[in-house]
Amino acid sequence: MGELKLENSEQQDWDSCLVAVAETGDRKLFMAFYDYFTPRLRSWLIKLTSDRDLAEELSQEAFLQAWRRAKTFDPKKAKASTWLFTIARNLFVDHKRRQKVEQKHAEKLAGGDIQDVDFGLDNGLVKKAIANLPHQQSQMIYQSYYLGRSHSEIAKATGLPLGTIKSSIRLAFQKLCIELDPL
Amino acid sequence: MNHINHHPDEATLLSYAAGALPRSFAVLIDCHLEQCPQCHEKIFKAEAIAGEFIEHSPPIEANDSDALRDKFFAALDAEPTPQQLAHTVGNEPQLPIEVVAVLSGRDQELPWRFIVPGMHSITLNSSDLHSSESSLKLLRIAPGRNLPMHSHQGSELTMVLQGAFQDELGCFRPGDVADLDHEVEHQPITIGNEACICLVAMDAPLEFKSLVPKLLQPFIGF
Ligand SMILES: [Zn+2]
Repeated sequence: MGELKLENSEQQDWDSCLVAVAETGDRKLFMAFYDYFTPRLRSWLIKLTSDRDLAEELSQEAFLQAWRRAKTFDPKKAKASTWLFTIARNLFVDHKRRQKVEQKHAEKLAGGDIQDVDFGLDNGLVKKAIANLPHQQSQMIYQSYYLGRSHSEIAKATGLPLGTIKSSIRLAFQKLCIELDPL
Repeated sequence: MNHINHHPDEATLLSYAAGALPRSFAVLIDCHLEQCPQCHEKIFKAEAIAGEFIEHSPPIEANDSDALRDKFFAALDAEPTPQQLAHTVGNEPQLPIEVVAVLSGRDQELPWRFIVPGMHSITLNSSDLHSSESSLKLLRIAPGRNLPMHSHQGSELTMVLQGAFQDELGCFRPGDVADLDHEVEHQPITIGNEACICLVAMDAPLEFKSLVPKLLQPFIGF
C-alpha cells in the first residue's frame, strides 16, 4: 500500500486507509479515520440513543473494535463507513440487551406523534435518494435507522397498521437500492 | 443445501440490518441467514444504506472532543496491533442451543412441553430471549395436524427447522420463513410423515381462534 489516492473519491481513501492500517498497524493513520468518522458516527448515535454520554461511550468502543478487527475489513465486501456502522450497531444491540433500554424506548413512544424528520444529510446521492421517497416512506426509514424502532414500535408511535409500515419500508428499501446502486 | 422458497419480508431484513428488530426476531433471522445467501445480500445492501447515512451525517463535535481524542489515543496506544489480534476476533452469531439440537437431529433430548394433543413447545429462555415484549419458541406439531387457526396481535416470524407445513401461502420446508402480521389469518397444516418443528418469534401473544379458549392462553404460554 502506497500513498492514499487523494484524487479518487473520499470513500476509496477510507477503504484503503483501513487496509493500510491492517497491514502496517499505523496508529497515526488510524487516527485520521477516527477524526473523520467520530463526529459523523456521534451524530447518528446521539439520535439513536438520545443520550450523549452513551453515544460517546459506544463511539469510543466502536473505534477500539475497528482497530482490533481491522484485519477483517474487506473493501470488496463493504465500504469503510458501512463496516464501521455494523460494528457500532452491534455494540448498540448488545447494549440494549444488557440494559433493557427497550423499556425506556417504549416509554418514549408517544401515541401518534409524526413529527417531520430531518436526516440532516450533506449533499450527495443518499440525500437525493431520501428526498425522492414519499414522506411516509422516508419517515419509516428514519424510524428504523435513526431511532432503532421495530415495526411494532413504529406502529405504536404512528398509529399506522403493521402491514402499512412493512410495505412502506419494503418499497423504500427497494427504491434506495436502485438509486444508490452500486454501493 | 435445500432450496429456500419463502424469505423474510425485505422490511424485516432492513430492520435487522438497522439493529431495530426485537432480539428474538433477530435470532430467528440469524438462523435463516445461515442457510440463505440471498437474504445475506439484501442485508449487506441495507447496511450499505446505513453506511451512507453515517458518512453523510452532519459532523457533531463534542464539548470535550480534544480530551476524548486524547483518551482514545491513549487507549489505542495500549492495544496490540491488528496483526497481533487477527485470530482472536470472531463475530459469528451464536444460535440457541435448542435450535442447534433440532438441526442436528437431537430434538428428542429437549424438554418439550405438552400444549394440546399433537402439539408441544419450548420457550427459549436463554439470556434475554424472553421478555414481555418478544419471545422465541420452538413448536413441534405431529404429522397430519392442523395448527389452530389464530390471528396475530403483532409481528410474527416462523421458520421451519424440520418437516414441513402448508398454508394459504404455500408449502414451507426447512429454512423457509413465514413473515406475517396481524392482518393475515392463516391455518397451517403439517405435511409429510415427520413432525414439523418450527422456530417462532413474536412480539405479541398469539390469539387462537379455535381449540384453545382465550382464557387458557396465559396458562399454556401462548
Ligand atoms: Zn432468505
